[in-house]
Amino acid sequence: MTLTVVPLLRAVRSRRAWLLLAGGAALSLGSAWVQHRHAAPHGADHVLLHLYGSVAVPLIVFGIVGAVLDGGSLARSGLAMRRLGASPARVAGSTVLVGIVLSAITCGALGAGVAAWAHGAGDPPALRDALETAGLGAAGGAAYAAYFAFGGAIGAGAWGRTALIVVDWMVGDGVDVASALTPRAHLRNLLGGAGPADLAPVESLASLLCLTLLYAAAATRLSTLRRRG
Amino acid sequence: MIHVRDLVVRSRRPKVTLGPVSFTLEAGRSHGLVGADADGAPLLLAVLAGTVGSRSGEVKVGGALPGARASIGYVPFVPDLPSALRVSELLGLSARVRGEKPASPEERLAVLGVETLARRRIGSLTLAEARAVALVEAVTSQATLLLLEEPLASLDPRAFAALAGALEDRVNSGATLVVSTASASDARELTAAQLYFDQGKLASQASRDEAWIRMTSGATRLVVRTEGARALLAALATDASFEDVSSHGPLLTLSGTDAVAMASAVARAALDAQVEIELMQFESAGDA
Repeated sequence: MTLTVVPLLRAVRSRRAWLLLAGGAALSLGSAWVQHRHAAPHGADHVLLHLYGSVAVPLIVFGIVGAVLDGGSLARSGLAMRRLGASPARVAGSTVLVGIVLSAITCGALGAGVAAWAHGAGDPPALRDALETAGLGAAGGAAYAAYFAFGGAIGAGAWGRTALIVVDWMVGDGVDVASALTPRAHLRNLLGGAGPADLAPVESLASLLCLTLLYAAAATRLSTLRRRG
Repeated sequence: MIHVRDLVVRSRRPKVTLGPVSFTLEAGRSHGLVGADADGAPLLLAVLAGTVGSRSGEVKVGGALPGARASIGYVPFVPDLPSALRVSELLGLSARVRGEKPASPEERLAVLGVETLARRRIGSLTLAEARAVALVEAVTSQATLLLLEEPLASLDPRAFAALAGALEDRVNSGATLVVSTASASDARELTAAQLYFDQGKLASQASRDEAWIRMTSGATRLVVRTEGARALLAALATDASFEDVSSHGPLLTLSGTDAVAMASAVARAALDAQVEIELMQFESAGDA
């Protein structure tokens, strides 16, 4: 637990992370308000698919992970604790874990808020929809956090994370097999859009959890190997 | 005990090749690695701390390969501290990571007279303040090996004696101290034995007294202009950094052998005497 203090305080005290969170939340909730005002029958589906899942979640998680990594690489972000004798793998693992948990909570809560506010007559029952969206948003946020942490492990500064958000945008927008490696394609499938490689929503949910574990493990391993850099 | 045998290290920034060097540093004593960046002394310290790998040769620190561990307190010239934390939070956290009982941050910071920094965010500290905090963390921890790069550089001159005393206490209680510095005077002040490096090679080894003799060869002249020349002269009167001191109106001409120590002494004296220095200029011994 001790090693989670530094990344946690970084995220909580980062102005940039709060700005990105505010931007993503304003975009989603603003759009939800418009849908609510016009009493759109499928308002929640529309906002969740086209704004929340495709723009707000990646944007917010990019900010959270950037703050957790102090704007640099995963290896560099743990230097101070490693110099005090902490295990490099535990330092990196704790940092990735904090990013995943914070992103899951934030995206889950925002998803529930958007689903509840934009709820239309043609959407599933409001409470059930909000709870389900919270779970799906949390899974998407966690997967994005691990994905960006992996980016933080492969490139110096924000380079790796930036490269991966571009890959997510370009490759994840498709429905081929390669898109299954990005969180975007699976989150879109879960929120009512087309799935990657004809996967069912439940398979996309399982894929998101697998991607979270895979990218988190790879990020931790890579940053441990590169700790002298 | 630190064993170094046939060590060769290369760094790209700054471009330095160190070695091959071989030496042994006894545990429970203080050792100075004297030399500038180009001589490889700071690079050697980083190798001992495990942050830079060697190209060839063997290094054993306490019988093990170099690497970060709780028993080592390493303070590089630019310390890597987590900028989001407050100083008090850092000190509490570092104690927990090192497996030590947390002590009052203010008490720890008071060792160098910087207790007012306790509530400050690390990201808001100047380099000098961050260095002071890193030094406090290392010196007041229970680390048994202290690796300090230029510990007196950028430090408030009023904290020199406090740091020297704290380091002496740590060595007397069994810790090993290794200081890397470009100043022979600083090394002599802080450590009992020194290794001199020149262009990446181990030039010689000396004890504290021998180092003093070494410093008296060669000469440097420092010209200082200040309206408070008389007060500054009085404050410098007993300083051992100078071989000769003369004054002429607002000008003081100071002769010695260690330029870094001379400049530090003048800065210290100016603070003590509360005089403003208008000009401080070094001249080689041959200049008229």
